[in-house]
Amino acid sequence: MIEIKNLHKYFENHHVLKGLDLTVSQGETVAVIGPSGSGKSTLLRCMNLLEIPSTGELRLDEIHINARHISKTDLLSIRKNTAMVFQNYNLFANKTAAENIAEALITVRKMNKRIAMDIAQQMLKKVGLENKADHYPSGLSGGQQQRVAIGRALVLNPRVVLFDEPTSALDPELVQEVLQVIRNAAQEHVTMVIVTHELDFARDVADRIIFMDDGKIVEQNSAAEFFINPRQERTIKFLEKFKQQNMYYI
Amino acid sequence: MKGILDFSYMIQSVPTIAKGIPISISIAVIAFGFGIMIGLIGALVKIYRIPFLKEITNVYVSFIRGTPLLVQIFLSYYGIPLAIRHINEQFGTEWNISFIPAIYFIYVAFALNAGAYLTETIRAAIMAVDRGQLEASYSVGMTTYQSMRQIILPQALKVGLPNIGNHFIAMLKDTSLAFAASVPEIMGMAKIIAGRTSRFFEVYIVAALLYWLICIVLERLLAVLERRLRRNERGVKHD
Repeated sequence: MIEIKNLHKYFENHHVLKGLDLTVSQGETVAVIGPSGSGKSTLLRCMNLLEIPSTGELRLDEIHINARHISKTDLLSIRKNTAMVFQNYNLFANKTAAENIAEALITVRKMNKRIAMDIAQQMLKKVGLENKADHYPSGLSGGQQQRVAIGRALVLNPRVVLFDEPTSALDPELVQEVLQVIRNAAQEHVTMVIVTHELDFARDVADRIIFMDDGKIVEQNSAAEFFINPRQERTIKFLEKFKQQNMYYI
Repeated sequence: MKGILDFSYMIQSVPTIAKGIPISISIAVIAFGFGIMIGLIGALVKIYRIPFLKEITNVYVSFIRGTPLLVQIFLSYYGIPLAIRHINEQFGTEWNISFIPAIYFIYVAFALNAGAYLTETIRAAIMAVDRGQLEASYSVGMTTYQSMRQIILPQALKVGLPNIGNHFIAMLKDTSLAFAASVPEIMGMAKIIAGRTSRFFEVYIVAALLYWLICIVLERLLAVLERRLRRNERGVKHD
């Protein structure tokens, strides 16, 4: 279980997160939506301490952290127990697809190299890329790279996988293959927090939707309720804009 | 009529001058090895903006880049014995200065020189690696050391290799300055036999050709190394 209490984040004088509280239960899929600049990505990056929160508390099961004093051990144990999927994939450019997945097993978990590569091969099969094991990221399409990145995250069996707009950099026709891999993970009850602009996907895959604006959580509800019965004025406005946008596509 | 050049004399002189090759190469290799270590440390100090060390590194790089190598060689050649004598007087140690071969002072001067230039080259190469690579390695629980070792430095090496290679070739040619500290490298040997026969031009042409030959071999080696490092740009790994 992840618990965030009264989280604040400043960049210089810019107040990005303004006192957030959030709990994610084990096995839950939470989608975070909201306009650009609302602090969604920063929230996500605070959850694995890629950004160090200015104040507030973060709890990941037995690991408890107060932003005022974060020890190196705490920082590492948070990162070892979480994983992240980035907007730009960020696959290790000097490693093949299989090596990308095996890297942390070998370096961080000190696993035997051959065993780790076997596990990586199985994971590649799971994301539908068993024939791409020896390809470097430069030889893969965006969608393939992102599926490897998801495999790299899932193989660690982290307490939570954080997705930072996993499909935003993809060509439209490659989005679905990535979303399908995430859907499969949700069905296996991997705990996930997904920042996304794909509202249809959010409704489809998430148990709960969080709507953020201006560094705060404006509204949260079960996926079904959220889209049918938004309660806050700000949420209704945001959803209406989205519906209008979609009409252009039809 | 005799030509300008005495070719048979040139050919005769080759074995003697070539005796300097191992010394020239040893200066370049040893000094460059230490230079890479210094450069890596300097680059990391600058990138992580380590207080105090950062200022020292800046002064060091500025001094080395702002003074001629020949002057640095003299400073090392005359300065280190003075420093050792001072230490002997201060701490009662008995290190014998006269037993230190001149080439050690050359190693020091060349290593410090290479270290300064490589600090900047390595820093630029590390900075050229996308920041997302470091974030990705942090996100799977790697420490800074592990990320550097496994992910960042291998990629930085690929970016920096052409520049680092250029430095090495330049340094190999600069070893000709070591004769100033009477080290018998290629240039030193050339001077010795030219002094005996007064055939300066022939001897220096031979020296030039030897430097050129070594550099051609180095260029080839670098090209092979670069190709090997770039294989992950071809998309598929071939073992």
